[in-house]
Amino acid sequence: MSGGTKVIDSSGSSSVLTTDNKEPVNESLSERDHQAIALFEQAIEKEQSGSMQDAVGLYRQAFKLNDRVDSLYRTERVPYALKKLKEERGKNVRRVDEDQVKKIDVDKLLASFIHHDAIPYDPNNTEDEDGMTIKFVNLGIEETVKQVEPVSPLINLPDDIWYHIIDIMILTTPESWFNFSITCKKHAYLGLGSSHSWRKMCNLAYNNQIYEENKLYLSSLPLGASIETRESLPIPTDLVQILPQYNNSYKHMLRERPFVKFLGCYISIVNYYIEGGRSEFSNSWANPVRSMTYYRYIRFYPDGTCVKVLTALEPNKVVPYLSKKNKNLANTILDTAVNANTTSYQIKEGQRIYHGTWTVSVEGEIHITIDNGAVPYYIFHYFYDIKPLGGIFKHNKLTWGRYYAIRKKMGPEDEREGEVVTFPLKNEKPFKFSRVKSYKLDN
Amino acid sequence: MPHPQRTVNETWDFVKPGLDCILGANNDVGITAIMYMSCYTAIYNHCTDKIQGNSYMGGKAGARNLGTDVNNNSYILPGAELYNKLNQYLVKFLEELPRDSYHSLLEFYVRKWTRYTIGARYLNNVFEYMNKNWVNKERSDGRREVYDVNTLCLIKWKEEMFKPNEEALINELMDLIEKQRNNEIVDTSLISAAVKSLVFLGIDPQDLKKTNLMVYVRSFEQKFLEQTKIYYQNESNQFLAKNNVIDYMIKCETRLSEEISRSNNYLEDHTKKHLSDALHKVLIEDHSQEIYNEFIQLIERNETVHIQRMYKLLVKVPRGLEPLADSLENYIKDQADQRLKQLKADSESGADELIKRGGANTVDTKVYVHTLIDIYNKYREVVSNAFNNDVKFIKALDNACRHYVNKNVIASPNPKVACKSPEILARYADIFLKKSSKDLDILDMNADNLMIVFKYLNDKDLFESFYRRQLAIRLITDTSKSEELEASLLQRLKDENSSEYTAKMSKMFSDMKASEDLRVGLRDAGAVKDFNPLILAQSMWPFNHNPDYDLTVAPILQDQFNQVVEKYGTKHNGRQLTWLWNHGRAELRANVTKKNSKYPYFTFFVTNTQLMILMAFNEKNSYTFKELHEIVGTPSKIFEAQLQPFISYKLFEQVPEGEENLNKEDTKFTIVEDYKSKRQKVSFISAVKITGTKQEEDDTAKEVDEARRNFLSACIVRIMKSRKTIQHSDLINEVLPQTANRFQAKVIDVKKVIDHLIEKLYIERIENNSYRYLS
Amino acid sequence: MSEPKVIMVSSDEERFKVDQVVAEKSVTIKNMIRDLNPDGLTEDFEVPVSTIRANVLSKVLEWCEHHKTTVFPDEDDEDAKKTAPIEEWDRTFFRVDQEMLYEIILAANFLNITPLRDSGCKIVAEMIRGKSPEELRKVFNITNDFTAEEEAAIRRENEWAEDR
Repeated sequence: MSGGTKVIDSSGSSSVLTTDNKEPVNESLSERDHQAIALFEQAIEKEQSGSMQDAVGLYRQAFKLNDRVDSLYRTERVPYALKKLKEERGKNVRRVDEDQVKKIDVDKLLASFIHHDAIPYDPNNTEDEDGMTIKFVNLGIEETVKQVEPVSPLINLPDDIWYHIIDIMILTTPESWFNFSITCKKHAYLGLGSSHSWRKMCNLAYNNQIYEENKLYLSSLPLGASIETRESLPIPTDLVQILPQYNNSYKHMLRERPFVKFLGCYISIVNYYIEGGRSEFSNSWANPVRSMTYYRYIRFYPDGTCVKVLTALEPNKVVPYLSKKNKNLANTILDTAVNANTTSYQIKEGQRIYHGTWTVSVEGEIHITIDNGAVPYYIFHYFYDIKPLGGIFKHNKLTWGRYYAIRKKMGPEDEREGEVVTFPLKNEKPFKFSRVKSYKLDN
Repeated sequence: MPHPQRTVNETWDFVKPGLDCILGANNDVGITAIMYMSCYTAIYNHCTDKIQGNSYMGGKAGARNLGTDVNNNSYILPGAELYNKLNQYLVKFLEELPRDSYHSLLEFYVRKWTRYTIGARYLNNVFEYMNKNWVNKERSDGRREVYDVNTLCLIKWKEEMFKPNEEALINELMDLIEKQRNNEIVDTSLISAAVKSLVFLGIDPQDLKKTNLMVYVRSFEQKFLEQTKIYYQNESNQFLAKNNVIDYMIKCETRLSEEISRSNNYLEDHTKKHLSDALHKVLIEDHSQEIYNEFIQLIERNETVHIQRMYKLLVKVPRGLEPLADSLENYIKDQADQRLKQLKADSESGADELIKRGGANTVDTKVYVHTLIDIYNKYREVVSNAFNNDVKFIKALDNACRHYVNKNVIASPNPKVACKSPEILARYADIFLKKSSKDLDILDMNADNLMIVFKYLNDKDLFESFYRRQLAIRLITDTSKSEELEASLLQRLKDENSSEYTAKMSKMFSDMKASEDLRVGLRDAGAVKDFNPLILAQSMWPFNHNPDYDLTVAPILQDQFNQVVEKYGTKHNGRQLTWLWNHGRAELRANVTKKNSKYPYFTFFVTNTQLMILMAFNEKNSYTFKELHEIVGTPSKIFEAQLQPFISYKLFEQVPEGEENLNKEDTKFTIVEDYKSKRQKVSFISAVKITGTKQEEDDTAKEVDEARRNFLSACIVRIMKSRKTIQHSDLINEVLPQTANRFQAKVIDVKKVIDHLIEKLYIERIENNSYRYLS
Repeated sequence: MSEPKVIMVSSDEERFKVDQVVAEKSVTIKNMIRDLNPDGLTEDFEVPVSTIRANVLSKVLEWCEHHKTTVFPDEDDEDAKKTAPIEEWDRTFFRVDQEMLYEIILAANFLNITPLRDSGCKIVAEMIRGKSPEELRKVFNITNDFTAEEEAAIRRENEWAEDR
């Protein structure tokens, strides 16, 4: 799953392939080896969520138990992971010829599925683990031929109906749209090959963007300007008008035209090192460098607001509370506190949720403004560029553009009003987008 | 749900008879439920067919797909085939519509259109499945040349029926409209149906829910407006050549209302404004000069109905009323001028008894004021009845009134002397406020009249000054008709102008009240009887201390005067009181009779000086001039004038006699023992020769001048304080309007005040012809 | 005289006599009645529905009868209608096998009964929701007919789009 995003469910825990409880236990391994593998897995998980310090500690413990834990992990766990993947995806989880894959023109391939029909499952035609068919091995003499059941009648619903069902999936659970579309060629055409899904997704994505250009234009209009003027926005809301710029293809548009995503949050993980420090419980003699981790979180809303957190807390402690309805991550604790003295409770800086506004330019530059930030006399301005992640995951990365603050007017004759402080970006890391299932457009 | 696979041709052959019925081909036999449903079903089936790719297109579909853009695949979908078939079918249907048996192209067009649009709506329902799915998809994929079936029907009509016949059709339409204007009977439903069809044909390919008026405007409206203009240009010119303006105006009214009902019947709202603009231009604006020329005659003949007609026409035209308002203004000025000249002439020749009563060769106050009001009322009525109280005409009336009130032969025969209207108006007020006026004389004199004229006075400060002077006299002599009337008039002046304007007069009323309280206080204390002292604030009242009237209070009265001063002093410490001896008067009982006389005693009314003279005679019966003068103490000139009436009215015997001996030191005055008079009450006041009247008039002028200078100073300082620096011309422009409700300041007056303020170092002159405020 | 009824005739010739308001839950039928009777119904009106069998038609009419007085929201906000939860009665109504589910959706599509079609589609979407591709193939009894390379390429090209 290189470079992949993961789905975080509402409880905030991450579902990573390697931590499945039902995995079989290899009896030939010692208790100590199992312990080592478990620690190694935890380390991987920490590393993936960016907590380098924790990860390093766990790796070290794992290697202390077994210095070949890395290869043990590969032989023990990877085949199981592959098997599980097969259960999820079906027979085609097998070794793939990367060169072949690269040669495929996917759009043409999908278009060619237009008149394909779904093929019923044939229990006589199963492949074994190595890709060899039983049929050929047994020459079909003793084998009783099982009867082939027809496909579900639902498969034969008219395409128009299927488009309707696909709309429902895209609106409610986008991942089910993809899982459905990857089941067979016919469905791949319905879900991915025709323009339908892409048009739907484009409308959902772009009609919720707050365009800098439109905001400027609207604010420059005189009060009570006619509706006609409002309709002739610099960035039109009717996508058909701009469709020709994208080869008349909605899929092309969705790929090329940047947009801010709402059903998840953007996370930036920064690791840095402090020299000379030593963990209190470290039993190492030579550990002069301490690794520190902090996170930046941003969540956007289609109403033009956004929330931002800068904290050392890991995603599962932050993501469930990251909402414009909360003022801090410990909100729930505060709300349920019976003690009347909670007013004196000081919100730790790392738990505050800052509220701001955002716009995006048509080129994909996000501009976030935070008025009531950590320093009361500053207005903070952040600029990010929307970029693809690993070339495949479109619009999933935000890179830092500029970051500065402007001094507010604090008194009637504030001479320092308008002073600009520019912050260095040297240590900042890009944000990655993570889907969060519990997030809706406005919760 | 099995149904036989059909190629598009098979499907089409199956549904075509149904479509024919729906559109009314073959004598319009109608369609059965079965036919309708099987058409819908066939189209539904065709659109939802699954495997057509192999069955009816053979290998072609696959070949066409490979290597082509993903988004082009829609054109091989069954929807596209049906759509193309329908398109071709509609073209052919419209080409073959039989057009015999109709009187005109227009009738053919309208009858067929009516039937066709009903059919198009049915067709739209029969093709609903294709509309909802294939057409919607195509349109949202950006193919805006694909339409729902109803729209497609309209577009085909536009292309195949309307476009080829457009010119002939519109010409027939125009002919019909012209016939209707010529009062021929025409079938207006043809016109409205044809016009409506043009609206329906205005289709916006981007948004089918919006109608635009492109077709209507381009094909119909422009020609219609053009034709309308030409028609009414001709008609109006011909009509005016033969008829008078009044008849023309009546004609216009009829035509305009006809056109309004016409446009309500078959025009779009879009046209209504353009149509009325065009009509107003050719019917009214182009003939406005002829209409204006009629105005003076109408107003002279007092033809309100026609003037109103004129107003209602011209109000529709941009800037159509201004010349009329100007005419009215000038007309009123002329009329006023003539009437006031006539009034002056009449009074000088003494032709009218009533007028003469005001005095030789001067116009009676009441007649003058009522003439002003009469002129106003006359034209106020015209403005209200004929001009609908239009602000333009109210303004014209105001301008004219302001002009004649302030500038006319009676009030300002000499332009260099201030206008007399404020003074006359103050006198007018005095007449109906005075106790002595007879009710019959003042029956039609009232505050309403006063306020009308007051509103137009330029020099309102002058009015205030005169009015206040008369009010003061009414108050101290207790000659006011009604306190209530005084108060209500004061309130109206305040409302009309400002509380600042009436401040002094208000203070005068409160002085009167305070004096009354003081008097009651003194009386209750048992100190003073039959004594009515008034305490008047200086500078509020138009009175000054005049030392010529100073006197020595008779010892017997001394105590009472002292008590007043003392009592007042305890209430208002530190205030200085000065007696205005010239304004008081006294009433006394004189026992200068013998027992068998006609009256047991006489009541004398006298001035204060005279009072002191008479008091002296309580001691003994005769004095020399020198003795008497020393007792009373009043300066000689006034003393002599005050003494004189006693001689003239034979209360005193003077020895030696003769006016020239009056002021000789040794001349002796003896009071008679048995006074003879026809009346019991005798006033010695009016016989005193007064020399001060001229003086008072000068005082008024001086006082007003000074008030004006102070007002201007305050105004300038206020402006300078807020602006700090200002250009000369800007300052003038700001000051002048602020004086408007008091008087009409002249630039030269403002300049003088500026110079004065510079001298006093309030402001200084700086470069660029500007001033700076010095704080 | 009682109100004129609409008689719907199924493909297997069974006749269903229903109130006009029930029949007009179908926009197709409604348009037809209005087109063919511009002045309103004066007598019973027979509508042939030759594409729907009696057992399905009776099921559909059961739905129409139940929702006779339900006011469905306007056409405008399609997305809101698609994301609204399924009504409990409809959920029970759709406790049928795949064959019947298919037939009802198809009939709703033909008769243009949008709320019924929407409910049916949501039922199908729920069948799909939360399942892996392989589980879905079992639900629909279909074969994965991609080559390994095709599947990998399609995943790589398209899977990202589920994030938004």
